[in-house]
Amino acid sequence: MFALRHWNSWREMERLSREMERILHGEQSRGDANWPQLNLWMNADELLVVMQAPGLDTDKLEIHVVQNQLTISGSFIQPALTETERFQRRERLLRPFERTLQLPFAVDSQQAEAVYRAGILEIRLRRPEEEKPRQLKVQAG
Amino acid sequence: MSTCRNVAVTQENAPKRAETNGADRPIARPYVDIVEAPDRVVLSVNLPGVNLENVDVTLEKNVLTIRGRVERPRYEGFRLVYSEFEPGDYERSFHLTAEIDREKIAARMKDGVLTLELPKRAAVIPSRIPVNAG
Repeated sequence: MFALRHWNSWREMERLSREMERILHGEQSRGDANWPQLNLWMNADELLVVMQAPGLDTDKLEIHVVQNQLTISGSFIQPALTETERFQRRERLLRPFERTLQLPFAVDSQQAEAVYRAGILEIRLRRPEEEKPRQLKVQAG
Repeated sequence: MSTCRNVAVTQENAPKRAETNGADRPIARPYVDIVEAPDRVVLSVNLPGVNLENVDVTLEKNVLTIRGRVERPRYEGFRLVYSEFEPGDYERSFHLTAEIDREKIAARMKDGVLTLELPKRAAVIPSRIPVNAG
């Protein structure tokens, strides 16, 4: 864990980036088609995970938050081909997936919200009240 | 794919990733699945972030073009700290062969996936002749 009072966004970005590298390149390849792609937005108290997941089967979507670790697992609606149908081309990601992210700070799992719209999954996470950085008053001695 | 016979949708054109549409927005080539049946061809096109009103499907001569515009997200007060994709628009074209019935193409959009049903002309659909036991 890093010290919140010495918040250093550049260092944090690097750490996050390395973590993502590990997650992505630890597997066979980063390839666009292997994982649903995501972006991470943040401010002082909130995180916003935005994932491209067109055709997601929302009934099978699972989002778990434990402190500063987020796991998203899901699968896509599968095409039901009849005997006379065959694929001429297959580019879309339709395999089940699981992604785990180390978040820049611990979040309150009770306050997590997820919205799925037009093939985009947005997960909003909040920093618990007790972990928010506090401004300390310095009194003249 | 071992065979290309009876392929009703042939090779397509797509803009290069670096191209922009003049508004400094990247244009990406969307991923597509193509399923062929004896009587139709079905295209499923991934257009994440594209709403129904921002999809444009045009047919000019034998070229079917799909365009999708993504509303650029505004997350007020947030800054982007990690990025795997850049929100942009989508464009991809397909050449249709003569066997597709251009008048009967149907499109629907759900959860960021555009599905296009391209029926084949009745004349090209193989008819099944029942053979009765003699």
